[in-house]
Amino acid sequence: MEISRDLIAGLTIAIGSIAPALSIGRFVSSAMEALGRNPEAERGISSNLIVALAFTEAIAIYALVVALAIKFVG
Amino acid sequence: MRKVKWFMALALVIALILANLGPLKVQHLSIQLAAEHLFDLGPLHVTNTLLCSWIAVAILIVVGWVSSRRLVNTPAAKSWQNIIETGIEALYNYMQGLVGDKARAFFPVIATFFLYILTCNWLGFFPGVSSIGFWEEIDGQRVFIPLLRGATTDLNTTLALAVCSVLSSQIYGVRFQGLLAYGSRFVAIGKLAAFFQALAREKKVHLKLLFGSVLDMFIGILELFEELTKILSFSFRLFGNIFGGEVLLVVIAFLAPFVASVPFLALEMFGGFIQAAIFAILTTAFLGRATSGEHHEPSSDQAKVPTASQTGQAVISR
Repeated sequence: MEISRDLIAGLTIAIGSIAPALSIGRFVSSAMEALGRNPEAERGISSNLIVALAFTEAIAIYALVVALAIKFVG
Repeated sequence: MRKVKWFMALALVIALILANLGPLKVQHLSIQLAAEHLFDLGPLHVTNTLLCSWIAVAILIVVGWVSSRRLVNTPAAKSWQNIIETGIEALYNYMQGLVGDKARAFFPVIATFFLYILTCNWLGFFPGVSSIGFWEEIDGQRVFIPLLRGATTDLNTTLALAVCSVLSSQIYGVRFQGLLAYGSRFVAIGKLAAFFQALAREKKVHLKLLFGSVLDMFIGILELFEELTKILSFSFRLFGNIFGGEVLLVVIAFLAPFVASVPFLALEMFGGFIQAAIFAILTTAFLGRATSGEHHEPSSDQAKVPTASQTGQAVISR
């Protein structure tokens, strides 16, 4: 049985984005908690949060790159 | 306020209906992973992303030239010099918060990375970029080839940037620490030498030192691999984010050509800024790590420069 490339590409990004989604949720929840406890530190918290989010998002982006490569290359 | 909202909703609905009924519907969705080849310049293979990166370079040069043409001590509020200086100063202050005194040495490299990547990312959003082009027959298929395409949507550009970033961290490491001290991070023979010295002097095998030296060697190999994987992660992160953003915009524009893509455009512009900042911040962090060498034999460093608290404690314990 032949599995289509589209299916594999879709599965790649679907499975690959599970962990980043969970960790982004965790980051944001702790950032919100920190903001609630210490609202004056909003600037530092939000800038750090964005940097951390970009790192986490990068993992999903790797999956996206692989998925795109499966779909469009070769 | 209410009226404006109603008007916007109405415009959205009309745009959606128009987009899906009329001749305005986008007929052709084309996503190309590799950059399209335009023409040859001698041995140089000029692609549309390369053309766009040249434009980015030209923009940076022109802006730099215009803003620094007549430098004055107190620039007028709306002069180019003032605007550019504000941005550069913000960048410099942010870097100083990250690496302190070394910011002055790192600033040219990091600011160049940041400004260039930011220009490349945002150049992709200009109207006409990746939408003006020509049709070409390739293997019997009509393929649309855009004349310009955002430079960072090409893996070659981001790979080159990543290689530059990692290389610059090596160069700064050698410049700040010296070749031997920096090289011992990868070929860690310090403990091995100490082991043999001890062996020659005392004729006794120090197993702890031997194990430590083997471990150091292994860690050195890991560090070498880390430098290589840094190139991969740098290039994939930038490329994937920007290319993924473009694909998202294309798909949204395919589904609803008019109003719906505006928030996504804003999101992607923010993303482009963030990615440029991430690249710069990461390079700063790696440069700082390569030049400090404090992860390396912390005991000897402390022995050279005893801190105030340590000397204070020593006095008290005596």
